[in-house]
Amino acid sequence: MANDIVNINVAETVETVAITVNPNLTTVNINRQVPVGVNGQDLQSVTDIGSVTTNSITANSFIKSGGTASQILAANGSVITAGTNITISGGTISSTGGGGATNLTTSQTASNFTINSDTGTDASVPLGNGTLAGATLNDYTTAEKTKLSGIATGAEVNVNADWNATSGDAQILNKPALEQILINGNQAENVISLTYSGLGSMSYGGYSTSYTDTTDRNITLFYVEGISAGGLSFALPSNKLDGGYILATVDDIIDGVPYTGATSDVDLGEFGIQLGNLEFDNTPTNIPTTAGSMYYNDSDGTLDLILKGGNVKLQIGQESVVRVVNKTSTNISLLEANYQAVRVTGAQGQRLKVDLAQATTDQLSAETIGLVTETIANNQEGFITTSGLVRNINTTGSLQGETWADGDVLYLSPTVAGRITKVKPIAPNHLVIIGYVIHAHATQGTIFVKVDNGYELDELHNVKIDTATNNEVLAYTSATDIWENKTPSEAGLQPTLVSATNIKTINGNSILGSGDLVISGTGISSLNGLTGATQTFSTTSNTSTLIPAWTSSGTNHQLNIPIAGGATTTGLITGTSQIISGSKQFTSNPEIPVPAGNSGTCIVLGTTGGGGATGTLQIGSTTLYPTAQEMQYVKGITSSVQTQLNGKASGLDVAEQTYSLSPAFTGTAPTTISSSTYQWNQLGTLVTGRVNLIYTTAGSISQVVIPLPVDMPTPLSPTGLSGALDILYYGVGMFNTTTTTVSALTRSCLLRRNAANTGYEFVITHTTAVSSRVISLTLQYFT
Amino acid sequence: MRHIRQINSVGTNSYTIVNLDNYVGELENHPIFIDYSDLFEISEDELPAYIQYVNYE
Repeated sequence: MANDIVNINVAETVETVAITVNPNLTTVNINRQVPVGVNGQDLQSVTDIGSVTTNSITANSFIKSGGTASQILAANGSVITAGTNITISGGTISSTGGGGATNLTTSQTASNFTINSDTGTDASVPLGNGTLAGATLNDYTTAEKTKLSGIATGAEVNVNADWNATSGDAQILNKPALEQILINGNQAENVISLTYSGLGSMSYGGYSTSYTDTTDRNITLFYVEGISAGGLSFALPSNKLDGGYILATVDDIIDGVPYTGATSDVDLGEFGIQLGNLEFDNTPTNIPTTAGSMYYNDSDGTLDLILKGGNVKLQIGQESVVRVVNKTSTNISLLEANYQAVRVTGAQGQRLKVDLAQATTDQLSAETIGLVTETIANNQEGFITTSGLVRNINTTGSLQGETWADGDVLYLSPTVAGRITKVKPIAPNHLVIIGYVIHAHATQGTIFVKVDNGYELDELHNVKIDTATNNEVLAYTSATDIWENKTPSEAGLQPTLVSATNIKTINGNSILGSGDLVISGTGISSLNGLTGATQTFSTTSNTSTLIPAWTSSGTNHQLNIPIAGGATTTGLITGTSQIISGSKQFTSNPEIPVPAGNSGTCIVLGTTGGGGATGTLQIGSTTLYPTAQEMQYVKGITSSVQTQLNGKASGLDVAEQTYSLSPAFTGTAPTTISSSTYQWNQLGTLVTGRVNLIYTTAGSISQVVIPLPVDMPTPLSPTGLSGALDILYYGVGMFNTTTTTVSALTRSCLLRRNAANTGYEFVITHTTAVSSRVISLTLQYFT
Repeated sequence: MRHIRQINSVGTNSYTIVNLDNYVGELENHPIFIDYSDLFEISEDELPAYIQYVNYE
């Protein structure tokens, strides 16, 4: 404390002396300002007369008469005793130890009045109403006094109970049962608990944590016998560096989760759980519905995770979903009830964009990804199922106009965008498998989604298609180990035939190239319906001759084909030893050509050698004509006999024909022809002919002129008979009324040159006209 | 072609006309009408495919 001295200086003119006591005043002196004796006045004289001064009084000491040094006087000079209030406005009260080292000062806050000692302990007095005026020392309430009086004599200030004491004042009654704490299998002994607040971190082994706030935390230090403290550290906050303790664990366990019997949800706030395993109740009764919840789904035997939006439950490990953006070109909502098939069209906002898929083209079907599993509005996000089950939908097929059953395979529809169907699409539509009907039901149906988009031929890894054109084939190239589109020629499929000109087409397609046609293995297995079971066919190239031939041995039949380059067309009957055995049947009008200029034998009948032949040439079914001997007889005939035979062969025995020329009658003509025929034959140059004309209605005839049929040989006009109407030959003829009447009348019948001398005509005449309807004549002439 | 035909041959398969090769004059004056006026007539019909003749001298 400072050794402050307050001097009270009393001036001569001051009539009143006031003493002001400051808080840190330790000595108050009232000093006389005027020297004693001046004007016969001194302090005593001043005060004796009871004057009042307004001057300050300074003195080395100020002692109330009869008072002591330890007393404090009030402003009115009375001693301040107990029960007297001291009012100090501002400032402090200080005290300097008299002759000692201790100095006191006071300080005040809103709640405490404190006497500070520069050597000892400060004394703090709580303020009842927050003001110094209200402070009351040793002002206990009645209840407090009763409580203090109840304290037993000798009671300890602090209770030092012994946990292990079983009797006496140190015994702790009604102790709770402590749970055994094991650390690494060793009994842990609670050493000390403390509370700290502030930033910090702690770690032990693999466990660590840190604090980012100043919340108070209860910390318990455990002592574990037999374990090493290595790796155990505790980083104290800067304001707690004097703690001196090592943290073992946090006693939050006191308020921790009980092993069993929880009665409410556990809320860990933003903290997680680290644990060795997690087991869900297999028969949960409190099924959550909010996104982010998880519970055990006993029906599917897995955990259900409720995804964003709360509409979709993910069966962990059994299905796969993806969150996409509805970007349909028609700006429609994708409906869960329609479980539409969608395809990827791009990405937007870090999500895949989807549109309805359709199996008509590769563009509309190749990127098919899955089925809509929750309703997604246009331009909004939602989940689709790419693999696994889509539940609680109508899987009867009624939405698609079909009837579905459990196990049906479902395909992407080629007819309606986004639809699936059980009708297997065929090319050119694309076959995209969407999944399978697990349960066909109107409201609780289930589809297992497993999208298989299939591949275009040119999408296979070992296939390379470069601008395919019609009639190309897929051929393997060993050098590149890939299959490529090639023309049959490029692929080596072109048959190598003897001649591109002789064998031109197979099934209408041109065959090009040259070389041998090789049929390996068992040869031709079937030819014109004959199968390899009884027939074996082979072909060889006849390199020695130009003659085609068949050879046969057992069931082995070999066709010899002339080599390419043959100059002429060659028939099958060739050579000098061609044998036609058994009964052979030829087609109509068979021809056996005789090559011009052939001087050798063309047709041999009978035994080779001619003169001794006994064989015959059969014409018709039975007639054997002529015999070989007869043929020998006429051999060599080339002149007139042969000519006659030729003529005979061409004009003999012409059968009856209809007479269709116009006869001319003299008189009246018979009418309505019922029959008009003629017939002729020729033997050598002698021609015999007849004409018969029969009418229904008779005419009156004296003469009839009948033109010579044009196919009858031209009559030879005897010498001197070459003029018009010259009569060349006479025959017999008649016209009469019936076919049976034997007339006694004489008719003249003749063949003459006609009036124009351009042809010939038969004439029958009679001297008078007679009724006639039947005209007949027979006549011979030379030609 | 006008011609003289035998009346009873009309409509049969033996349509009969008078041979006019050597006749000069009007058909109406043909002498056949003198002897067989009731059997022949003059016609302007087309001739059928088959005809036969009557010679009158």
